[in-house]
Amino acid sequence: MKKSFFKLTLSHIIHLVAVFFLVSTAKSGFSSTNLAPPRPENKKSPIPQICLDALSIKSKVSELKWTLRPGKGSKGNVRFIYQTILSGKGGAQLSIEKKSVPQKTLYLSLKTLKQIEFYKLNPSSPKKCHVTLLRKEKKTRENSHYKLTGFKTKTSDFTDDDLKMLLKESKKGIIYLWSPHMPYSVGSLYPLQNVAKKLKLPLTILMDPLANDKEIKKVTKQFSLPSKLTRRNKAERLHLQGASLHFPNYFFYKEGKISHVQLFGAKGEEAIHEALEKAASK
Amino acid sequence: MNTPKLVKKLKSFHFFLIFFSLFIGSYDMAYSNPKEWSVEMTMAPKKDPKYFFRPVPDSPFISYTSGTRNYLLNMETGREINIPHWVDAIPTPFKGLVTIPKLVPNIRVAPRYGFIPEFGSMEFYRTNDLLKGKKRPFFKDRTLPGAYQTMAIIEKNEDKIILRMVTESFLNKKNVFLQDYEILLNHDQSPKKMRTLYRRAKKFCPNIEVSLPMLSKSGKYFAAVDPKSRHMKIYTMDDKFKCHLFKDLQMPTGKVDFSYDDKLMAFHVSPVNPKDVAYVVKTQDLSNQIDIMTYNLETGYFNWVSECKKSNCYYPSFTPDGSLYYMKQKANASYEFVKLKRKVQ
Repeated sequence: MKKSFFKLTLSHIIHLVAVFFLVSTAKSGFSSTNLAPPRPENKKSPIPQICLDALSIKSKVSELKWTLRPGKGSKGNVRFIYQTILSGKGGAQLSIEKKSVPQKTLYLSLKTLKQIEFYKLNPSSPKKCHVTLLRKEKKTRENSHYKLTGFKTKTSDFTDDDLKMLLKESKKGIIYLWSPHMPYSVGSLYPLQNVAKKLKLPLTILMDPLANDKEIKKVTKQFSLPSKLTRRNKAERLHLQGASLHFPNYFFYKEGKISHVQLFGAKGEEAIHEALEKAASK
Repeated sequence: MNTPKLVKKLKSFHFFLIFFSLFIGSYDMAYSNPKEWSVEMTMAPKKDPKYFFRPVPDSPFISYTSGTRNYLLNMETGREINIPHWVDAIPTPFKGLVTIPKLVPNIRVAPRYGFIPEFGSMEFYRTNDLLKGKKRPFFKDRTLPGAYQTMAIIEKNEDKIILRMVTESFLNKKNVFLQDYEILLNHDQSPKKMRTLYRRAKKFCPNIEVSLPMLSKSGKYFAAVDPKSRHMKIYTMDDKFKCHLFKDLQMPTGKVDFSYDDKLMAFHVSPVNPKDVAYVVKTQDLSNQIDIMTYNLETGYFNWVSECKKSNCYYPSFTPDGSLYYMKQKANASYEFVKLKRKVQ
């Protein structure tokens, strides 16, 4: 009797361990997908410096400004992907996703104007980062995020190449994004043009990339807007910074860099002046 | 307890453990469930809508703008009613009123193109009057400048509601303002009388800089864009209207709407292009650029609403019964309004 009792308890212990393991696995699966990303007070970079060094990226992790963007998983789960733009490497875009299995693995893509490189990184110790090149892909227009029927990129659209050129050619200026679907964004054109004219700042006016052709025709006719204001923004660099989430929104740039100061929503001249002062002081 | 009884008990426990293991083994349970929501109804408006719209609580109507007109659309019948003005007709969080900023487009001021949106007043219309085709405002408030109005019910009893409205001024100022209103109700809960509670509008969050705030329905929280980080953040407000950070979502999002129980937030985001990500998984949907997520304020979980395959979905908005509306821009560039019902509460 004692023996059978012992057998049973051992079997129970095995099951308890198994249950504990399954519960913890399920929980970790959950936390790596849908749970909130690391708290903001934990301002740790999603990638250790040693891994940037191993990829010959000269940026300092402490200087990179990361934007979290959600992605979609295979079962409708949420993936958390950190993205940043490197000031070197022609403004390449880094995307990083953390995976807990295998342990502490980072999946990284480095997207330049010509190609995307995909890596697997294993920072095994504070001094070592094991880098595996997974694949390289040439960047084509099909890689672009704008591929819904009716929204294909046209040659007149404003792309990352155009943005690079703009930042290179003009010392400072304003980029304004509007949408014919957002009435206030039409209304803000006039005060903005006034400010740009007074301050002799170049003003680049770009339109919602997803604006409906019928709506564009209607609004441009109604307010006698010239067709040059209907250039669609397809610059993924602006898209990364939330350019398509609110209209209007304003970007300011200086010395080849886009300012962290950004305005959302319709603004009068005074507010634009103030934002420009803030952008200039940074 | 004698040994055979203990063995018997342990045997039943053994069965329980095996059963429990099988249940826990269903790993899929750990993921978000896109089937959390189901489509209850869709309705294509007669005219192409502007982006922003809102459902009228406890009614089949939604308010939307097309061209230079505001409409109330009956989601069940497709009937549309013209209502005053041409921007942001936003219903109050209770059925009684629809608020519309009266803007004065002054095209003559701009010599070539554009117009200056001059703010006239915030107008409050009885929903029932609008449904009957009446276009006379029930109340006008000239104390609150600007637009982008958002509202909360601060206090409610059978004969009175205290409504809070926050607006952002855009005419040569960048400040956000707040006004509270006392609304006396009739027996049928329709608004009888209304007055502002402050002689002048209060400055909203004078201690921090926020943009495009959206109040939760109870006024307990609000979400706003931090113009320095571009992140959507959730704040609370104290009695002196000073604001305090509650949660940083750490990402740019579209306008936020809170559920009536203050538990869920919904917003549109721009999902990362799966082709830009090194870790490859087969996703259900690769084609959309704007999609809707929820964030659970209690659990901290994010979920995709995931009904927007090959379309773009914008401006989610809750109703008192927990349903969620959004606007869908389809692949052929046509539009429809969608009402989702939540399967899991």
